[in-house]
Amino acid sequence: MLRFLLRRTLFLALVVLGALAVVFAMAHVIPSDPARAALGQDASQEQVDEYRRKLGLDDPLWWQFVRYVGRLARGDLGVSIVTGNRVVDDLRDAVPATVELVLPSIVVALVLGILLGVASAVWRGRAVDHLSRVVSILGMSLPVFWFGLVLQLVFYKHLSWLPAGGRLPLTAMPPEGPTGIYTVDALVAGDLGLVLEAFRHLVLPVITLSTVSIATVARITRASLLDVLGRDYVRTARAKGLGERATVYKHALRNALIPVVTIFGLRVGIMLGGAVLTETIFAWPGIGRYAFYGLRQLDLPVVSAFVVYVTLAYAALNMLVDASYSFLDPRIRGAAS
Amino acid sequence: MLLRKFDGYWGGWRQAKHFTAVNMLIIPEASTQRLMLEKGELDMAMKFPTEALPAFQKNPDVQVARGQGLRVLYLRLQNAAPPTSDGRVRQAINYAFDGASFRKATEGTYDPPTGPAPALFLGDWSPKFPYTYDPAKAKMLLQGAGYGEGRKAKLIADLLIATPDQRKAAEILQAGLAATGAAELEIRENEWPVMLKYNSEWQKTRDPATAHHLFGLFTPPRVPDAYAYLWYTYHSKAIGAFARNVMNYANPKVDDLLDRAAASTRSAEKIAFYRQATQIIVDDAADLFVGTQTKVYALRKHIKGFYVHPLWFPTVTVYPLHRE
Repeated sequence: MLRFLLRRTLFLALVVLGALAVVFAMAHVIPSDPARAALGQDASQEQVDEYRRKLGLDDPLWWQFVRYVGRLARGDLGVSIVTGNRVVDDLRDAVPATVELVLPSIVVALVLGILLGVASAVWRGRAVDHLSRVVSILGMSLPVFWFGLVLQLVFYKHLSWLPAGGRLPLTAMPPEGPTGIYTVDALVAGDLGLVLEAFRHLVLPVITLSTVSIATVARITRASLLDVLGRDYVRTARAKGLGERATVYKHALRNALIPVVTIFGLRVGIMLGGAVLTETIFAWPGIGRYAFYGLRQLDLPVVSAFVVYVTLAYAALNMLVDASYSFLDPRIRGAAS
Repeated sequence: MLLRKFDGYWGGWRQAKHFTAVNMLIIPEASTQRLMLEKGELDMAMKFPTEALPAFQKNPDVQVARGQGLRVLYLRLQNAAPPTSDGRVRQAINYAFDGASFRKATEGTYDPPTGPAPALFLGDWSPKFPYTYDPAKAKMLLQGAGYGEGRKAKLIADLLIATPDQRKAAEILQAGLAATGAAELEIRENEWPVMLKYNSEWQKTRDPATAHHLFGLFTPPRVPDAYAYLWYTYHSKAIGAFARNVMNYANPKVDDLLDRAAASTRSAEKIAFYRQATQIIVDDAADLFVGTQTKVYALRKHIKGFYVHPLWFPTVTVYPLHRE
């Protein structure tokens, strides 16, 4: 196991390095002038050249890359060319916001997706199956942007049940706390009213963000479970008199979950890195929105930091997914040992 | 961002109605901002697309505040590469632009153009501005420059991405030029750093084959003087040295007038020089002057004490605001 982890960590470092190299190369393939954009049109060429020198943008590309990787190894993500803020400080605000949005979305997507998929497979061809398929297809085909706006219209404008955007009401002060995740920090502070408010602000964005994943998980679970339910060992389990519930949940579902976990790992990676649309609609100050504005200005330190974050998130998820295979399937565990 | 009351403020806090805190929220999605204002969760919306205005105006709980803006929208014209290096083509572009349609499309949030600088900075004076929508005249000018059905003037407009007003202006011009049958306009959108890089690189080669002929640009009053609009944008010394006279307008008479205006310490004389320079720039059709942006804010009806400040950015003086 230790060898496995070491190998994966080394591989992860190489992947991050490769991704950074690609971003650096692309940033220089796209003809752009971020220093001029930051200083404004009335800055003289001398001022722009000086700013470029200060940021090291006039150094050879390979040297900029080496310097950046060196800084990164020391945990320094650089300074935004546009805002002048330290990127690590910006991320300290943005990442907890995204995590607060994505974690409940993962739980909702996994629980509802699997339940829907199982129900659809077990009662194949019945009303539940048809309903589940309709819900899945709708979930996958609804544009996130449109769906989010419809939710706002229904639950905010007409019913007044839930807020339209932001992490807290405008009149509320964010909780002081160690995580930056408002629900957790408010809970730690013992402010239950604030926990409830933070939770209310999460509901619509979480529904919007998790819908596609619910649909995907439900479809994959259904297909995979149907395949497994036709296998010999399931027939054997039934033949020896095992109840349907035990057959499905103890024998079939566990094996059917391997492709689900694989696909879900990818979906979580997409959610962690690309909740841009959801964050935009619901005025959620997360990393997707931060990266989007960085990209608009071709702000290289911001874009590179985002790439590092997404690469690390994907790599960590892949490791978790690999680890979960051996938990789900003893044969894999045996092969690994 | 949260602004809190500063107890030591020199103006004092005599009124009990003063707000003690103001929370500023960035809401990138326009429809979300509109919903929150209409529901009363927001007291004020500072930046929203003009499409939302009719709904705000109809809403009895919302008031719309308008005021003099000082940001001028141009579609700048390339003076150093054909076809726009020909003054007749630049004039034709000005005549092919249906300004009334643009102002309608932007819900009246632009004043009609009066040239490169707002009248306020020229002693409440506007130059003779001959350009009204006239496709027949535009066609005649284009034909005079050698363009027609068989040989259309091919133009490229470079706009800042996600800037709807620039896009609307360019599309209205595109239709106007198409109506002449003698010119066609291709619209491109780019990120700001990409546009700036393209401009500085193009200056090195000035290759007509790679020229962009129109460049969407807002000009604000960086200093409270016509200098802000005229010197950086139209003086030949600003070509290459700064990023504003990117379309290479150069006229020795204008240079001389702008230098004399900058050197003058007498206000009336300074303004006289600026006026002369402005009239020449308009006559040269140096750019397509789209209009001066009106500042528009939407507030809940109960918010009082608000006034529109003409500064460049959306600006709110919080101190006099109160709720009734």
